[in-house]
Amino acid sequence: MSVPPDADEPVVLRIRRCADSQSGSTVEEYSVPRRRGWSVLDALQYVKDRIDPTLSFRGSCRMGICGSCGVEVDGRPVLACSTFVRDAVVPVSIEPMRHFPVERDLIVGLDDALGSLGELQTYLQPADSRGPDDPPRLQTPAQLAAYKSHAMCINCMLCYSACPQYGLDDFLGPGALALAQRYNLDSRDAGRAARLERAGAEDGVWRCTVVGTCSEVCPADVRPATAIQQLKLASVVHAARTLATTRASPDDAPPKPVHPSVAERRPLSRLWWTSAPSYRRYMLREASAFFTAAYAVFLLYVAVVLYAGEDAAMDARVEQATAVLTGPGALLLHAVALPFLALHAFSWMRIAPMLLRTRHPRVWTVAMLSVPVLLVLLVIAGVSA
Amino acid sequence: MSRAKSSRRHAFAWLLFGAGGTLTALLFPALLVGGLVLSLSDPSVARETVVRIASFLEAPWVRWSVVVLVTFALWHAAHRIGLLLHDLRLPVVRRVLAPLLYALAAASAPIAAVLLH
Repeated sequence: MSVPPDADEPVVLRIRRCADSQSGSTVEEYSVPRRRGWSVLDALQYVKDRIDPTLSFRGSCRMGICGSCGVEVDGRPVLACSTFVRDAVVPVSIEPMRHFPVERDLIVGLDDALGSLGELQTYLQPADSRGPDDPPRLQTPAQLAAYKSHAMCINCMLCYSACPQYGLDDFLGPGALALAQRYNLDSRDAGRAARLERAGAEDGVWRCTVVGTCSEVCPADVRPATAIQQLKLASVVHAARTLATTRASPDDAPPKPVHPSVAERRPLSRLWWTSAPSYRRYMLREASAFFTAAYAVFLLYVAVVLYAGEDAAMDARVEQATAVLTGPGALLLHAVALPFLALHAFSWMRIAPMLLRTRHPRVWTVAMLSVPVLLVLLVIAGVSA
Repeated sequence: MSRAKSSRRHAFAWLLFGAGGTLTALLFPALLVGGLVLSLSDPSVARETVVRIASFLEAPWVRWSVVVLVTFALWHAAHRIGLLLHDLRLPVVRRVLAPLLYALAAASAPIAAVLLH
């Protein structure tokens, strides 16, 4: 039930509290006035001002630009200042961002995620140094447009909270990788090689499995999922280019040490993927792999029966293949596998344009999807003939 | 393993995974629809289509296409199942199963090639 504006009945906030990182947490309820224009941050400030001054949370600009006030409202990572009480489900559940150690109440430790920024050298590294009297480095509007969306990051860390891979394992994280791509795409920068080396490590781009929730929750449209897919492609090209030169190189510097605060994170439940529709869709998509494997084996089996049947005449091979293809097993396999592979095709064509650095990813998705759709129509026409 | 070697290993696996995902996304829906229609047909009606498929398979390029499709599809599935086991927090199962699945996928190429040559 959402909150009707300015009614008499107060709104109940259910806030997860804890005294420090070593203490257990409790959920406390607070009643705040029902005001149409209030953000969650306004409601938290009301609680702190009028009810419980010990409530701790971060907040600064109140306008979605500083990135300080990240919390989870009704299980979704959001900026408290940009999320309105009127749009929330009552009672409004407010928790600290997941995947981070809790320092106190709604305040989390961000040191590990901030460390990723340093690891990826997310700062401009021009090829030449210039002083204050030298002319500025100019960029055309097109050069700016190439990286601008990724540059809008406000380091709110909502993407880290939304990313299950960051919760599951050591991972540099979507925000830092998006910023790395921002600098890689900047025409003034010369630090691409070093960033690609770091991004291509075990805890870099290869941890990403395109869950996509990082881009969903980003308040600044940075599209970190898109940036990471481009980084993967760039990492492949970089690995191929440096193949000859790095074979004889000594072992590299050790990977980024895991920040001690990571050990204090709330552990991710094994059923984490049941907690949000996006996560459930992701797991359904990943489960299509079983049917991909099953169908590949089936295709090979049918091809072998039809072509390489043991010295049997063509008629016998055709009879055997027909029996396989019209049997109940084949019907079951096709009926169950088809929706999964359709989901795989649809999601693949939504993700593939991310590699292209295009401003029109949906156009590319439609164009790419037209191929399997056309083939389906051709097959139906051929089988019906 | 050095970071560069690890990076190349991941890059190579991802490239093959991507190729398999693209091929299966393009071709499997059509093949499945065709197969579903066949499986719902009367065998005497389906037989005509099967004869056409059999003559199609006589061409070497078709058989090589099947080998390529099956190999990349199995690699794609192996890679994805490994990641799924990681997502389900089954590290021990993953450590045992993932190399086996990759090995089977790699072995499918010569096996399919021999069977269909």
